[in-house]
Amino acid sequence: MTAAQAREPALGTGIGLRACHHAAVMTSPPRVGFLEIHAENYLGGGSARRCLDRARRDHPVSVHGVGLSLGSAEGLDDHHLARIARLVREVEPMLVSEHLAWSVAGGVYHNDLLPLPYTEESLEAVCANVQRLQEALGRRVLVENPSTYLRFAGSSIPEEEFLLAVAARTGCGLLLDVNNVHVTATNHGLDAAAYIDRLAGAPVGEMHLAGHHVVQEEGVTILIDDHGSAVSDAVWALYARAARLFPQAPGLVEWDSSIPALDVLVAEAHRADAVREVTHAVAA
Amino acid sequence: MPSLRELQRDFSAAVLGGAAEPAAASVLEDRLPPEQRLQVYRNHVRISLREALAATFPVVRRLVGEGYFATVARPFVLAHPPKSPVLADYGAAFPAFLQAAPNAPAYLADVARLEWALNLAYHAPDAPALSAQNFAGLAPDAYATLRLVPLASTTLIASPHPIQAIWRANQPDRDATVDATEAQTVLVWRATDGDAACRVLAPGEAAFFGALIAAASLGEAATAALAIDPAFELPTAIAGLLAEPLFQAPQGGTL
Repeated sequence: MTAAQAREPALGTGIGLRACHHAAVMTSPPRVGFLEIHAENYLGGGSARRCLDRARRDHPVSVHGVGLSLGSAEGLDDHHLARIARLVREVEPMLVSEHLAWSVAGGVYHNDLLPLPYTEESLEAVCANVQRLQEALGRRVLVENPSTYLRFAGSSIPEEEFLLAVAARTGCGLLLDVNNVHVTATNHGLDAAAYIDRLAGAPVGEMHLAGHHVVQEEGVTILIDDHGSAVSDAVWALYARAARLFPQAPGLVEWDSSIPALDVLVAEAHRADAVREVTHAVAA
Repeated sequence: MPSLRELQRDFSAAVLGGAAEPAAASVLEDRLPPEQRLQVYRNHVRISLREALAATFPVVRRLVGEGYFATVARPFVLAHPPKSPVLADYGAAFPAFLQAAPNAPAYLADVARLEWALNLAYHAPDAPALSAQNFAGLAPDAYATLRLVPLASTTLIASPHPIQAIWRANQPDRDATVDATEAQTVLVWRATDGDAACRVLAPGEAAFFGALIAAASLGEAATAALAIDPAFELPTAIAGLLAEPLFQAPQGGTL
């Protein structure tokens, strides 16, 4: 490992900013590297926007879209793209990211990150949408690997290769969600560590950590990416592996259901900092 | 293999109450039947949209209970799926849907309208509000013909039920004891602290604001209010409408 690769990341681990923590964040800024917002939750004004403006004074902010539907065959929604572009202009975030997924068809939204077949046709659709997004924002975005519960029979490209191709063709970076790798790999009987290793050298600009829950379907273990619990041991191990490969990419802890007190999220972010430090110390 | 566009239409149908077979035919069979893997998405879409409604209409859910709420949310979600990726935009049609729901209490739809108005007030974009400065230099005889435009965050709801009392009694820290029985007209707005607010209007005030929001002039609104309440005083009412951000500031700053 070269000296440059072993350098500490520029930022400590961040946490996702959620409405239930607005009051706490306004009262006392949490000691974390940065705050990440879901773009779609901050398109209005009022107290949510005031909290965001306050957060911007205390922390770098990252804007994470959940509704642009980069995988839509129908292309991006002009109105929504314009709203997101305006938010990004106003917030001047350190990073902007979205998902390798789709959420709208025929004008109907599903409030979910739905899976894509990994084909040349999908690759062209995703690249066109990512390019359009980057042009509208005038900046590079990161595209996140999804959690999936099914694969399509017609898929011909492994997911990690698909992501690498999107990055190569559009110049975008990647957001490596380590929990999503674990969930997807488990749900499809794939090797999560090998998935991460195959991304070595990829332009990973951020990593996500979150909890999932476990269900049994006819004796098959299915992991559900609900962001509703602490990060699992398996995901911490994968995170250490990913932190070695992408020492510059800041981590972020997400919690979206059964959200605990702010302190619990901050403690999880500090644990992620500690995992990185140990990983980098060993690597050096 | 269908085109990506066809596959996304098939998938959408499968998760929102249509036939699952076309989408299932594209899914890889891997230890579980394709239908069962699709079911994970179907469950998530429906549950997350029901939870989105519950987040916007928490008092409605408390009033009818978890079970009834799920029973009424399910057909609503399938008949009125979101047309926007912004969850705060979801549910505009829910009050009218509740109006027609079997066995729903008579006041339920109006309580839902109040919750929707509070949701609009909370999420509306920031915009400059009418203030006393906008009236500076205005000749006294010009007041009567002024027409004011409400902010996107301002709504008036007239109900034959005590909806604000019901709403207040069913906040998380309250025991659901309702202390009113009369019809209530409720003004909803976004307060200067950035949060949604609401209050019950007296009959004259209700007529006044109702007329203004329906684009009547200040003079016409005052006439409507006086017809209901002979003691209605226009200066007091104007002071009241300037005390909170209710109406839009005029273009250029002068009325």
